[in-house]
Parts: sequence; structure tokens; C-alpha cells
Amino acid sequence: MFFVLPILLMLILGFVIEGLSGSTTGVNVKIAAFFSSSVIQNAMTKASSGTGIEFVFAKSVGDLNVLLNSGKVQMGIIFDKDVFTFVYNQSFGQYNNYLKILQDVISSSVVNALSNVKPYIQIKSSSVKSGNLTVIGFIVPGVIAIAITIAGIFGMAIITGNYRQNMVLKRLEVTPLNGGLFFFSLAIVRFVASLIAGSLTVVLSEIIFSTSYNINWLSFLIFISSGVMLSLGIGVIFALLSRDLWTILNISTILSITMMLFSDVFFPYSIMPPYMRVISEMLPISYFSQGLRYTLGIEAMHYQDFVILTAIFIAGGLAMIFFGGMEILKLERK
Amino acid sequence: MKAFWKFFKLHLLSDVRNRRSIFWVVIFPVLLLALLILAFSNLGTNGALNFRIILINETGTSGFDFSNRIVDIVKSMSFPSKNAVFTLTEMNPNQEDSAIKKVLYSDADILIVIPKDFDSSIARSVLLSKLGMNFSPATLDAFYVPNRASSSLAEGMIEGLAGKINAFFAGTLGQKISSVVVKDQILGGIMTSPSYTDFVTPGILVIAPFTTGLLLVAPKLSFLRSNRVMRRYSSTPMNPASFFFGFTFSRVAIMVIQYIGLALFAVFVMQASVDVFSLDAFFYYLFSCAVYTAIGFAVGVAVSSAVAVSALSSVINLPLEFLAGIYFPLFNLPWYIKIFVYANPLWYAVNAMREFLRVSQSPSPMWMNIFIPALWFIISMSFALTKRAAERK
Repeated sequence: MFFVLPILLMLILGFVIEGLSGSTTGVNVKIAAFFSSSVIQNAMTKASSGTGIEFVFAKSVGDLNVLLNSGKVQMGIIFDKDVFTFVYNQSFGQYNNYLKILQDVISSSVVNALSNVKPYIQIKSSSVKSGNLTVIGFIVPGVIAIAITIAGIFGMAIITGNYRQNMVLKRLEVTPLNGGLFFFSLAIVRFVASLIAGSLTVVLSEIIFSTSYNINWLSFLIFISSGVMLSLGIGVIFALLSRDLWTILNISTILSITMMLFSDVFFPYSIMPPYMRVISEMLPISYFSQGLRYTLGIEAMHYQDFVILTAIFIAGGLAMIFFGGMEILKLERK
Repeated sequence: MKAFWKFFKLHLLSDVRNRRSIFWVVIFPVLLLALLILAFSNLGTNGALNFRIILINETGTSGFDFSNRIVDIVKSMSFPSKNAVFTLTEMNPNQEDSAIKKVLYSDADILIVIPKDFDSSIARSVLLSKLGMNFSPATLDAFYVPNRASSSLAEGMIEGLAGKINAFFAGTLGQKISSVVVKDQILGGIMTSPSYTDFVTPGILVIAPFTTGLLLVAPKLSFLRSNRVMRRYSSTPMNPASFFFGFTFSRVAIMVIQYIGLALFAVFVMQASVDVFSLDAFFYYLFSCAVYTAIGFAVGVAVSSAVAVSALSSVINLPLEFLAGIYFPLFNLPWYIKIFVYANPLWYAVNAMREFLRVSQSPSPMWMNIFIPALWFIISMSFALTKRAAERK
């Protein structure tokens, strides 16, 4: 599970998110357009240059529907007799909300082109570089964070739950063994496996998705270690909640899904409703993926923030493993 | 027949009394539906957009107030105004470096700088425009991170805003601006405006029996085999078909209860407007139950230990669920991933259920929605029966 899960998740989500982004090198939106006038068609081509919007001009509404249905474009535009119709593919579900943000930009561009509005003002956009960043490169650290967190939580929760359910821990009470150290030894085994799996996932993502990370390996290994430690600690805390292995598994499943859906890995904070933003900011996965992006050289982060985050993850993880482990052994004595 | 009923009742009751089964059959899909709706239903909608924008106005007092108009327009689109999409921070011209760092370090999505000569440039443009002469537009500087989604979207919003400001200037100068009607339509939609709840409910009605098929068939079968219960059954005069059908029908009965519970929850609690009473949907669901039970049989027979069953189930579950178009839409995938999607029985099931529940038309032909899952059923059952027959020898 420690090896397979991160790689499997990276491959599946990598391809899905890369496909949705429309490009490996930028946030691109491919739009099928059917305009009744070639003048507007030319104006739109000119207006869209360098905007991240790529028009694929269709010869008819039927052609446009075919392009949209076959998944070659993300949305369609029909402009005929002063009526602008934006066409969305039903199978895109919630992603259509994301695309609707562009509706205003595109319609105002067309209105200006139609009315021959001269550009009194123009936007001169300058890129603030934060590393060699590609869309998929931005997603992979989030996917690694999710996979490692889930594998860590499940791995530790399952082994602890198994030992509790099979009375292994009860037998340990007659030995002088310290609960914290016992759980620390369990965590270390999983820690090493997770560390290797995380590094392997990054290397594979470089090969498969050409992510071209500028990796600071020392920071990466330290930070990924801290994240693994934290997730193992959370696994021990989950195992505290019940003696029944399946109950622990159920709790872990629900909380893992929550963490996955509500983190800022797949969708940016800017388009989340306020309640979701609050939940996202409370989840360690959001910070884990931010820190990973920093160590992979694709996102800027204040160095002191990085140090504080790493320290909190390590201290929190170790504390949860030690004190959680001691608490579990105490519960077994009762 | 008596033996069949005994097995049916035995397996049905053992799962109804089992906390683990109740979790996977009832609690998990209900929670998954609720969490997905909570997470995605308001994503990117009005009120959910909030781009953090920094504005620096470098213009001094020049007798023109075009730059202040720009500031007012951005303010009118920022919180606490109604329908705001920006959270605005105004900074001084000497803080530009610090503002750029804020964009770089994700503390802001975009920085807009109104340059010193903005007012005079606009005044010149307006004058030359009135005289019918050519002019260079005034420039607003935008600093953003192109590949950070929130930053890129914020830049798009600012481009749109510039377009509207240009139209406004043209209008005030007496130019006639075309008026257009903006509409949107959903391709393949049966409902006029399906909500996210409508969109995801058929997906959950596919995921739920699939999880049940994997988790309530495979581990149980593996348990019966590893504890030699099956061997003991075979030494009795009982017909093996009684066990097979009793066990299978008990799973299908659980899945039917699951459908009723989930459908009622989706419609009455989550306010989905899907046609849960559609007979077509129910029959397709029954067909899916048979397919997923067969997959469960194949997994349960393929490996014997509980740990191996759990690992194999996860490896099958993860790609099938994620590549079914339930959690994420599938777009622009490479051909080798598309092959996987086209072989995925869950993708066809989701397409069919969306059509039968009157949400949207299936992007795949209906015969394929039946044929591919049926193929999975045949292959899974053939594998399970062959492996079992080989084990008996």
C-alpha cells in the first residue's frame, strides 16, 4: 500500500488533471466557436492571442457539438444574430462552473470587437516567476501529499487496530515495554517505506509528465519526512478511538475522503465558497502540498514559514505517536 | 429451495447485523454524497469567487480623475459590496516590491499598478479618438503567476474588466455599442438546469453497489474459503447452486435496499430532482448489481487471504472509480488512458444511470452501456467458476 498508492494516485489524477487543464505547460482552455461572421472570427483570434484561450473554429453548430462531445474542447460558443450562446458539456459537471468564469471575459471581447471599440486602456501582464512551473507540476505535489497522508494514516491505523483487536497489545502490558517507543518503532518501519515511495513518485512524475522540478533534495526529504511523521501520528490517534479494526478503518476512510475533497490541491482557494475555504485552511494536506511545492522549486515560500511548518509537522507527529501510543497501552490495561 | 432460503437468510441477516457492512452499505455512500455536494456544489459560483487583488495607484494630481474611476470600479467589485469577486488591498507606490512578493508568495492573486502617466494617456487617447486620429492605449500593469490557477483566473477577470471599461469609454464618447444577449445551454442535458446534486447522484448510485460488491462479496468468500467452510459445505448433500444463489441474492437484496435508501436520501434530504422511480434506472441498477457481485466473486476467488483481498480490491477500486467521470470530468486524456476509460464498466454505468434518471443523455451508446458491463460479468464469472472448479479437484 505504501508503494503502490502514491504512484497509482499520481498516475490517475495526473492524467485526469492534465487533461482538464488542457495543456501541460499552462492553464489553457480550448473553446469550439461557431461565428456567423468571419470578421468576428478574426477579431477573436487576435484578441485571444496569449490569453490561455485557444479557439477551434467549427463550420457549423453540428461540428461544434461533435467537438464538445468528443472531449476535444472544454466549451463551445455560438454567436448568431446578436445572441451569444455558451455551450457546456453535461459530463463536465462542477467543472462547468469554473469555465463559466470566462463567460464575461469572452462576451465583452466579442462586444468590443463587434462595436469596433478602440482599446483606450490595455492590460500589460507580467509574469511573476516562481520556478519552472507546469500545470501538472503544480498538481503532482498535492497528489503526493494526499497519497502519503492517506497511506500513513491507514498504515498506522490498520496495524494498531489489528494489534488491539487481536489482543497483542494486552499481552505487552506484562512486559516493561514503553508504549511510546513501541509505537515509534512501528512508525519508523512505515516511515521508511513512505519516504522511498514519495521520492519514487516524484522521480516517476518527472519521467512521465516531464515536470522538470528544481528539487532541493535535502529540504524535500526533510519535509516529506515531517509530513509522513504527521500522518503516522494521525493514524495512531484514529486507532485510539476504537478497539474494533473495522471501525478504525471506517473513521479513517471518511476523514481521508474529507481531507482529499476539501484541500486546495485540485481547486484554488479563490473559487471555493467561504465554508470550504475555512475547512481547507484547517487541513494539514493543504500545508503539506504547499511545502512540497516549495521543496520541488515550483512555489515560493518564506523560509521561516517552511522551517516552522516542518517543525510543527515533526513535533506534532512525534507527540501523537508517543502520547497516542502510551494512551492506547493504558486503555489496554483497563 | 429450502437450502436456498436458508443461505439467503443467513447471509442477509449476518450483514444486517454487522456494523462494518452497515457502514459500507449505508453510511459510506450517504456521507460520500453529502461531502461531495458540500465540497463541489458551490465551487466557482456567484458568491464563491474571491480573488485577492492588490491595487497601487501611482498617479498624482493631474486634473483628470480617470485613475480614480478605475479604483472605484475595482472597489465596487470588491468585498463588502454585493456580488463582489475581489478582496481588495490598496498599497502605496513605494510598496510595489513588497506587493510583487505577496503575489509570488501566494498572499495575493494579482497586483494591478496604475502607472504615473495613466491619466494623461487616457486624456490624450480620448482627445485623439474624438479627432479621429490614431492613439496608443493607456496601460494598466498586472503582475501575476500564469500557472497558478487562481492567479491566472484573476488575470482573466481583469482583462474582462478592461474590455468593459473600454466599452464604457466608447459609450461616453457617443459610440454605439452593440448589445448582445448572453445565454448558456448544456449539451446532452435532459434537465434544463441540473444541479451538482443531480449530476452526482447517479454516480453515487453506481459507486455504492460497486463498493458493496467488492467489500461484501470478496472478503466473505475469501473467509469462507480460507476457513474451509466451503469444503465442509461440499461434504454435505447440499446442492452447491443453493449456496451460490442464496449468497448472490442476499447481496442483490442488500443492494436493492441500498438503492431505495440512497435514492430517498438524495431526493428528500439533498433535494435532487432525479427520477428515482424510473423503472429503466432500477432495472439497469439490478443488472449492475449482478456485474459487481460477479467482480466480487472473481476477486474473492483470485486470492485467499483477507489482506490480499483487501489490497486487490483497493487496486481495482481506485482506478475504476477515479476514471468513471464521477469525481472529475474526463477530458483530453491520452489514448492509453482512454482505452482504460472505455473498458471501465463504471463509466458506462454512470452514463446509463444519468440518462435513465433523466439528468442527461449518455455520451456512450446505450447498447455499449449494457455490452461492456455484461462482458465484465461473463469474464468475472468464468474466471471465478473455473478457478473454483480447479480448486475442487
